[in-house]
Amino acid sequence: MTLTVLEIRETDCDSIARLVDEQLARAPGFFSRMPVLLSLPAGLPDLKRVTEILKAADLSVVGVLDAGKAAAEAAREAGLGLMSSPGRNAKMPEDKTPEDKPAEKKPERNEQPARAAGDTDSSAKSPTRLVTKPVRSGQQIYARGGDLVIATSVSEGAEVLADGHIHVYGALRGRALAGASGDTEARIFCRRFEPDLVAIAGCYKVAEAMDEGVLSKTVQVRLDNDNLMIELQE
Amino acid sequence: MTKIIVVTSGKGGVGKTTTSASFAAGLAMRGHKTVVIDFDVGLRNLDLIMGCERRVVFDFVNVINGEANLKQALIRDKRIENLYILAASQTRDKDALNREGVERTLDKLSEDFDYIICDSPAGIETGALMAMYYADEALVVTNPEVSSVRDSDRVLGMLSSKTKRAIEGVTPIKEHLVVTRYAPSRVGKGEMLSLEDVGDILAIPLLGVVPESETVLNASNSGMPVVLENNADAGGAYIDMVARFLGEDRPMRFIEATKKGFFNRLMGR
Ligand SMILES: Nc1ncnc2c1ncn2[C@@H]1O[C@H](COP(=O)(O)OP(=O)(O)OP(=O)(O)O)[C@@H](O)[C@H]1O
Ligand SMILES: [Mg+2]
Repeated sequence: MTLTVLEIRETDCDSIARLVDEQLARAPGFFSRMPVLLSLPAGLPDLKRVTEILKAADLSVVGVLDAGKAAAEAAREAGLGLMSSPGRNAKMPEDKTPEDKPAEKKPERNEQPARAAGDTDSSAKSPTRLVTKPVRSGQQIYARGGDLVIATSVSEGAEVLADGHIHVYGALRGRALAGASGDTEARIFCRRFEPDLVAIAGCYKVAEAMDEGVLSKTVQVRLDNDNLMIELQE
Repeated sequence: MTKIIVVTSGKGGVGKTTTSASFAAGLAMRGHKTVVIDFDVGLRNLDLIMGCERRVVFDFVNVINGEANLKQALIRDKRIENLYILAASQTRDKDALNREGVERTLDKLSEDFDYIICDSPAGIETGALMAMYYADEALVVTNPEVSSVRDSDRVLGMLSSKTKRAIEGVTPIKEHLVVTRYAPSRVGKGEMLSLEDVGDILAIPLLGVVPESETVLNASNSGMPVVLENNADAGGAYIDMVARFLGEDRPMRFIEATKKGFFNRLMGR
């Protein structure tokens, strides 16, 4: 299972509450019941209050990632679990990176940080990357070593890649490549499926080759023995 | 506070200059001191549409190069109080604009004007970037066809990543969708995208819809911003647009869209 990491770069609870509000204003209902881990690079906020703020926003905090001594203590008091980064204990997708996968040729182009003020972008050390702005034609976003969550739409002519799964909560109209470093277990989930191309671990399908029954529907794309399956999700 | 508004599109010939002229004129008619700047260096046609081409002595590039001051280069509109034009140069190439020079000019204009309208050149290169770089708000001009919408989408990506506001991480540029050359009858026949289709793809608030209209061409041939053609349909659309921009509620006119999905049409079904 993959957990979303929420990086909190504030220690002031009022600022945190405001950022969460802004986030929700942009993507109402997006977080519904999503379990998250907190990462606290900026220091230790009042964890009990943070948990309450996030709970009010329908996010459930399950633990703290890579907590220092003080944070671990506070987490225990707030009833939260402790976890360490996948880099330390989980298998990294790099372990089985073949040379010829899309990731190899793509990300050198204008890779977009797409990090807006207030994005809960979880940057380098988090395995999950959250994008809350529309991904526009000509832009490319790559979640290296993890999952990509897109709260809006991916335009035709845009490209999103992840070494892990890709979730698109709006329409997917551009290209989506999951398992970009060769992870055949990676999947693409999308609420409205109108892509130019989808691929998992290098197996791809272009729009023309897709069954029209799945167009504009909510789907899951996965790999079954080198067969790219596009399945309705209702 | 002065507001800098870029009128941009990506694709050429969609109605940026027409919109810049009428939007600026409309704001001035509502009593706001407004200047419209032609960033289309080398092509220069804003002055034609504004009917002041024979009064251009100094232009934007002269100002940037320090060859003239703003007072010498600003052309006052003869029909509308509060409206000024800063023309582009016809004799320089687009590299004549530089960021420092543009910033200096905009800063200086901000001392006097309520609104600065920047008429962007087509494309996504330096000229277009220069026109949008310092913007506070953007009118994204789009025709109801696939290639124009795609280019607008691309420009929206630039607005949210390559502009000063984006780079400094302050409040993002406020984006407004302006759909021009809209012909509801052709939408009905499936020859054009509907308003829903366009709005669905670009996902930014719609500020106005300007119908396809002969009066636009006639007006620009006679050097009149079409907004002055009060009774005409396109003129009315620009008047409404300015009113909405200033916070008034005006129902959209000239729209009778149908519901056919964009994707279906793309797939040829
Ligand atoms: N609503 C309209 N109805 C009919 N014709 C229009 C309309 N709007 C613009 N046009 C025509 O389209 C042409 C291009 O308009 P305009 O010069 O404003 O576009 P532009 O986007 O500034 O072009 P460029 O990219 O070359 O700067 C002109 O001939 C103009 O008269
Ligand atoms: Mg023009």
